[in-house]
Order: sequence, then C-alpha cells, then structure tokens
Amino acid sequence: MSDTILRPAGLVFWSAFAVVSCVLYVFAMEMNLAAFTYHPRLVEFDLGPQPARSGPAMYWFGWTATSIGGGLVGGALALVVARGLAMRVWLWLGWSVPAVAMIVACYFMIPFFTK
Amino acid sequence: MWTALLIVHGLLAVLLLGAVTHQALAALWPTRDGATMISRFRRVSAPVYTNTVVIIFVITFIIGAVIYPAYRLNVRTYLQDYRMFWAEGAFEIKEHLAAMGLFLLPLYWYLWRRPVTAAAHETERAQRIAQGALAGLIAVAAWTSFFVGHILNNIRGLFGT
Repeated sequence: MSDTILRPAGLVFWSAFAVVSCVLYVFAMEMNLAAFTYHPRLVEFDLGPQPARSGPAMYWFGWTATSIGGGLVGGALALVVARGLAMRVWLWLGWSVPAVAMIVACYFMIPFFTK
Repeated sequence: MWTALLIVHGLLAVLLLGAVTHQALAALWPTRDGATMISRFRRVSAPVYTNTVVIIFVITFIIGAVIYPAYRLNVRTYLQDYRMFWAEGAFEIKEHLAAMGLFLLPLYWYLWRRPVTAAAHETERAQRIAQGALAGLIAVAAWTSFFVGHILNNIRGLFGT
C-alpha cells in the first residue's frame, strides 16, 4: 500500500522533469539546441545541430533528446535544492508551466500561418 | 511499409483519443448522473485509463517518429513547393505538442496511479486539479496531432494541387 501514496520525492522529480523538459524544448526549438541532427536522405546522425548536407536535416529528434536529458538533470537538481517546496506548489507547477510552454510553442508557429 | 505504419499510427491514435478523452472529461467534468449518453461518458472511472493512455501514447509516438523522416523527405517538400505554409506550420505544432505530451507522461502516470489521500485539503484539491489538467493537456496534444495528421494525410484530396 505504501507505494501507492503520493511521495514528495517522486512528485518533486517528475514535476521538475515536466517543467524543465517542456521549457527547455521551447528554447531548443527556437535556438536549435539539438543534441544531434538526423539526415534522413543519408540515414546518418551528427552530434549537435549541424547544417543540412545532402537533403534536409532533421532537428526534432535532437530537440526531444535535449529536453529529456535536461528534464532528467532538472529533476535530480530539484530533489537536491528545491525539495522543501510544498507539495501543492509542485502539483501546480507540474501542469501549469508545461501548459504555458505549449501555448508559447504554438505562438512561435504563427509566421507559418501569415506567410 | 510506410503506408501500413501510417494506418497503424492512425488507428492507435483513435484508441488514445477514446481513452484520454474519457479520462479527461471524467476528471474535469465529473457527474454521478447517468441519464444521457454524455453523462454516462463523464461518469466513467477515470483512473482505469491511465496505463492504457501511457502505453498507447508511447507506441503511437514511436511509430510517428519512425515515419517522420518519410514525411520530411516526401510530404513537406510537396507542401513547400505548393506554398502550403499553413499545413507545414500545422505539422510543426503537432510535433511540438506531441513531444511535450511525452514529457508530461511520467508525472501524469505518477499522479493518476495514486489515490488522492493527502492529509491537507489544499494538497488534495491541487492533486485532483493536476490529474485533470494533465489528462486535459495530453488530450489536447492527442486531438491536435490527430486532426493535423489526418488533414495532412488527405491534403491532396482535400485541397487539390
């Protein structure tokens, strides 16, 4: 039964993961902070954001990897430095910050609809 | 093979929509009344969908990632050639929301598999709201991805060339 009770450590880690990964994703897509680049025509990977070689370059996989990595680090850091925050604060942060990040990501796509 | 994967991707998305929409509505708009079809839809036991949502989301996401390069090489260039920038932008939104939906899954799973047992009333309320909000955000990501994917898949028939 004990494993079904809301534990502060799990809540802190996964809330921080959700917050950091979603915010980092917005920065990654805007500043191209891709952990790697995929060249689909060549079926090759390059470390970091690299320009297209033959055919287009795909950065989305790299942005996702960057965000997951950053989220895991953020979750671990939160366990060390911010575990004292009230549980309800983490409960609010865990969905509200990602919701704002989703809206911001959509906002950055407006130029596609105004060309 | 790409067509088969695309169809499986779409079918799994339909399953995901059913599960996460049931859960989100039951959490955000609960009722005890079962007189109408809508109220029966809202009256379901929300937690039972959690594992299903997580598993289907992850599988659908992986298949989407596998077929994404084919879109990048064949479909996106077509959209750019025909200056259908809105469609290109719609797909960008789909990929962003899908990725962020993936990032929410661990917290979503963590909160939904635990009953609301917090001693403090404020924490209990915050947990209920977080459960509903996370299900709602994942539902938004799933619905947006589904609509965009469906429109792009049919774009030549819908909008011609």
